Amino acid sequence: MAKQNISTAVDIGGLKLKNPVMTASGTFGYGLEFAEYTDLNSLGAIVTKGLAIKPVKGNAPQRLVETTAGILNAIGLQNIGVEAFIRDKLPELKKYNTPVIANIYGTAVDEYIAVAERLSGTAVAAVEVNISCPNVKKGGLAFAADRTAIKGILTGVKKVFSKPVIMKLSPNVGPLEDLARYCEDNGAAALSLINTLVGMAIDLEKRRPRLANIYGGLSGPAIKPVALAFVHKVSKAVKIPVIGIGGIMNARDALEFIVAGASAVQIGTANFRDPAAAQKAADGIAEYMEKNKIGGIGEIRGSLTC
Amino acid sequence: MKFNGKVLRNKEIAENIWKLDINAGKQFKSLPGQFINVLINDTYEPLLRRPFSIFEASDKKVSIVYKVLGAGTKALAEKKSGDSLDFIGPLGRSYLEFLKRAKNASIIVIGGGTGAASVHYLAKHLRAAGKKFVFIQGARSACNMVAVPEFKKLGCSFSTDDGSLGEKGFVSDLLQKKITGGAVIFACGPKPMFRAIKQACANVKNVKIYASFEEYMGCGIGACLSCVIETTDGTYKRVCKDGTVFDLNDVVI
Ligand SMILES: Cc1cc2nc3c(=O)[nH]c(=O)nc-3n(C[C@H](O)[C@H](O)[C@H](O)COP(=O)(O)OP(=O)(O)OC[C@H]3O[C@@H](n4cnc5c(N)ncnc54)[C@H](O)[C@@H]3O)c2cc1C
Ligand SMILES: Cc1cc2nc3c(=O)[nH]c(=O)nc-3n(C[C@H](O)[C@H](O)[C@H](O)COP(=O)(O)O)c2cc1C
Ligand code: FES
Repeated sequence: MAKQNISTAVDIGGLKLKNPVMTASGTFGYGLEFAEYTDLNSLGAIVTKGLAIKPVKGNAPQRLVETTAGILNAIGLQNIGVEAFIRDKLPELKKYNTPVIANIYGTAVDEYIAVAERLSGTAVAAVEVNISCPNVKKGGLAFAADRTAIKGILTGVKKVFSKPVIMKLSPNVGPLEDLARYCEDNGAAALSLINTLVGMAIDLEKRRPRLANIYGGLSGPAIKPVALAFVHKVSKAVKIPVIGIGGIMNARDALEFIVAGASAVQIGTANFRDPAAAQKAADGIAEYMEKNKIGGIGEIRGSLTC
Repeated sequence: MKFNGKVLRNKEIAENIWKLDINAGKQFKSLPGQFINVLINDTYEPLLRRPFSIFEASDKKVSIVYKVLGAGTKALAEKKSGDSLDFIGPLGRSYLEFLKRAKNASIIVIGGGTGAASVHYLAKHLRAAGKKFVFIQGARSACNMVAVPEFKKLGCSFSTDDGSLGEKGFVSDLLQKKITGGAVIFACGPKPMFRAIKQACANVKNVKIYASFEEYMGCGIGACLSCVIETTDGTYKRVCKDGTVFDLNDVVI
């Protein structure tokens, strides 16, 4: 939202966004599901559900369960595949004045590259590489700290896809500063963090896990403090933009991430409570800036005094 | 669509079963089988909305009938008339899409447990349209039966496991007495009930069974892929968007 003396615009490794609020992968479908409930034009960017080279069936239900101030999910990356996305979803998404970022994943380095290659030359404005999904056996977490794989994916994807390549990092592999620098050195345009934290929920009466997959990824307000700490540490370690994710429910939460060092944010679980949550957060950031006479996001980014 | 409604009335109508009437604030157009997704309160406990079938609706008014189970429904039972209530709906596909294909077939409507709410709306619709149908509600016991007076008005027969109301036995036992070849069955209830219905119809010719499913939901609008059910072609379909009503032959139960 561009009000008189303020600009909410941000630049994420060459990708220009009208405001810093994006939707998080897997929580906003392919975007179109939300058109009835929110103005898709008001968003900084739309990040799609993780796309693979072929359609993926996903895990057996139960796939999701609510926990204290959060949810655990083990969807297992069910998706329609990159081909159907380009054919059925992208033409509709293109009608909106909002960049589309394709979240991509594969079970091997070559698959990531193949998905990115298919997306090159389409209206997709950037790819976000998911090397951090805790819910699939191959790919996902297995690559989260595997430098050879990360290098292979980054250099391979960059060869076939000329627009920004964002790496999405996992909080499940320990401190991320070194890995973040490694991604930066290998050409990542930006970093997204955090993906979900591995967790589980138990049905005491049945003495069984609540999720069929046993373990799932925790998201929502419960993970916000963890996410803030990761974003604070990583944004000090790299020069490329950091996209803050984790438990952001409103504009104030989003601004906390920006103050901690994030250049932009993604809103995930909050979309399930309020399908207009991302739009409201974007509006709220503009209001906050106006009220506090902040001209641009850069003035508050990383402004935390410790 | 999202509504900022107001509670008109919230009352316990049977043991642990409540009826909530909501003023949607504007015209609320819905069809039998559809549901609404209710934001319980402003805190993050519970975090997710809770889905409930539409029990009946007309003009600006929409009603649900719910069983108090956990934190969400407990908090819902504390709502007083005049309280505001944010909900999304109507969601999902209606039984009526399948009814169109059923032209002159004899119709049987079956509700089990809180699934009765969903078929109540259908029975009301069929009655208003002047259609004849057999109507059955089953529960464990009389005290678990949902909205008995309303169901009686619609000509419902009851069955209970313990015989405390209507016939003793399962809905499928009562169904077996009423089923005829070529019938179309609409049902909502727990999965074991669907299995029993399927079994009861196994030797009857040309019976079609359309069932409304309840699976754990994250978003209710087709985006999160939480609420899926396995189909016979080996893929998972979303209950909230591709259902909630499915042809029982198309899904794995
Ligand atoms: C399409 C649909 C229609 C429904 N219609 C009715 C109805 O008309 N009347 C009625 O009493 N109940 C209905 N339910 C079930 C109702 O949504 C749950 O009982 C309610 O969400 C329980 O919330 P809770 O916080 O009280 O319980 P919890 O303690 O959270 O859970 C109790 C039970 O409810 C289930 N549940 C919890 N959260 C959800 C969720 N987000 N989505 C689906 N299931 C959940 C759990 O699996 C568990 O079995 C319907 C469910 C669906 C999916
Ligand atoms: C149901 C669900 C599905 C998700 N699917 C994906 C996915 O396909 N790819 C991905 O990179 N992240 C996925 N995520 C992770 C989110 O994008 C986000 O990183 C995480 O939920 C933390 O943000 P939040 O607390 O705001 O939800 C998913 C999260 C949820 C809740
Ligand atoms: S509840 Fe999210 S897809 Fe059905």
